[in-house]
Amino acid sequence: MARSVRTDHAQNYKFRATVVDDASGPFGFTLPTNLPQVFTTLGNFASFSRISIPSISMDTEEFKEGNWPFRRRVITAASVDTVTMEKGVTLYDSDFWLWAMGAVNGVVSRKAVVIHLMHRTQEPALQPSQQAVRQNAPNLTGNVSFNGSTLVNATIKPAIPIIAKAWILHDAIPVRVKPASDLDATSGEVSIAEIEFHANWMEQKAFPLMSTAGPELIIQ
Amino acid sequence: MARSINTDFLQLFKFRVAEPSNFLNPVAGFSSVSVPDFSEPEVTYREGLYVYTRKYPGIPEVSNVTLRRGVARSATDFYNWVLASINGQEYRTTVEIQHFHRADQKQPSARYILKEAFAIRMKTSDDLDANTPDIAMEELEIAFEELQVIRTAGGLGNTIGQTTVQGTGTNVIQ
Repeated sequence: MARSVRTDHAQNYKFRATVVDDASGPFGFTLPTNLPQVFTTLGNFASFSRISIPSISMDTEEFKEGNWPFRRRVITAASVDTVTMEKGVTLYDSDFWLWAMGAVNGVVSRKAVVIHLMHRTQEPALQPSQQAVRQNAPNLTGNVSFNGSTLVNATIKPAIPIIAKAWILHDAIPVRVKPASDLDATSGEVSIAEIEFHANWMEQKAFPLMSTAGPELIIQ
Repeated sequence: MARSINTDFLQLFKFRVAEPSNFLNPVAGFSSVSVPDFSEPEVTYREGLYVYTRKYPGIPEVSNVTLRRGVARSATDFYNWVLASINGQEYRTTVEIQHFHRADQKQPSARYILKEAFAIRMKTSDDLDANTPDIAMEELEIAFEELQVIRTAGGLGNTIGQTTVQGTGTNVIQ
């Protein structure tokens, strides 16, 4: 049998991001532990043409102990690279500019940036009995039971992209904004706005291992 | 008993192009319409323990569509459509190529729907040549983002298969 789509590597091009208030400061920010609940805020996610993914670099310090011939190293601090996001300039969208100007003008500008990398997989595989639930109750909400099988939270529609990795960049402050590409009368390219921000720390959330238990793991 | 006409395959000659924004007027008369290619070039990936190169689907692409018809005296709509985008007016539309079965008069058996389509090239007439009696043809090339293919059972409008192909638009993630 051929390989399942779920074994595919994630690719570079399917991603989205949102910027939210990081109200409670370091280590106080909590996303739902069950990642797919983030789908409830789907409307806040935006599409970008490019987002850089930061490296995390560790500073080390060396020391020597008297009776030990090799140098020892310890990690003293870690830092997150700056991130650049790019998107096309449109008529009504000034998000990059407003975030940066908020920082310049002393408005509280620390935010959490949530980046989702989508996997090619879209719909979790349904058991036949659960497919029957989906087919018979496509528009019902809440927990739907059908022939003894339950589909939890049936508001989730089919063909939902699965998040391969989510990164949450905390305490992000904008450090550079470019509101549009350089003007050039010889070019018809779409004008691209850029923002660069610095995050103090970041988290990675990975999708939980799939099981044969069916979609409950995914969509509840 | 002989075969029914309903079992005949579709032939190339029975088609029309419909488009709701009235960029193409009249909608019926085209002498040829190209049908777009839809492709998904592969991307490759290697890791040290794989003997063979792994391949994955890449970014989907759709090719452009070319429409041709005879030059009529008053029709300037190919030209007007290209001009609309140049002049900053509404220029996008949904183009539907309707492919008819021999037995069908009203209901197309196949519909090729080109979403977010706009005209990118027109040639207002074939090159002039005093040595040929051929009809002068005008040509229009359309670019679009997303292809949808719908096949319906003959005449009845039953959708028996429907495929949506998503192009390079930014809003394909729901």
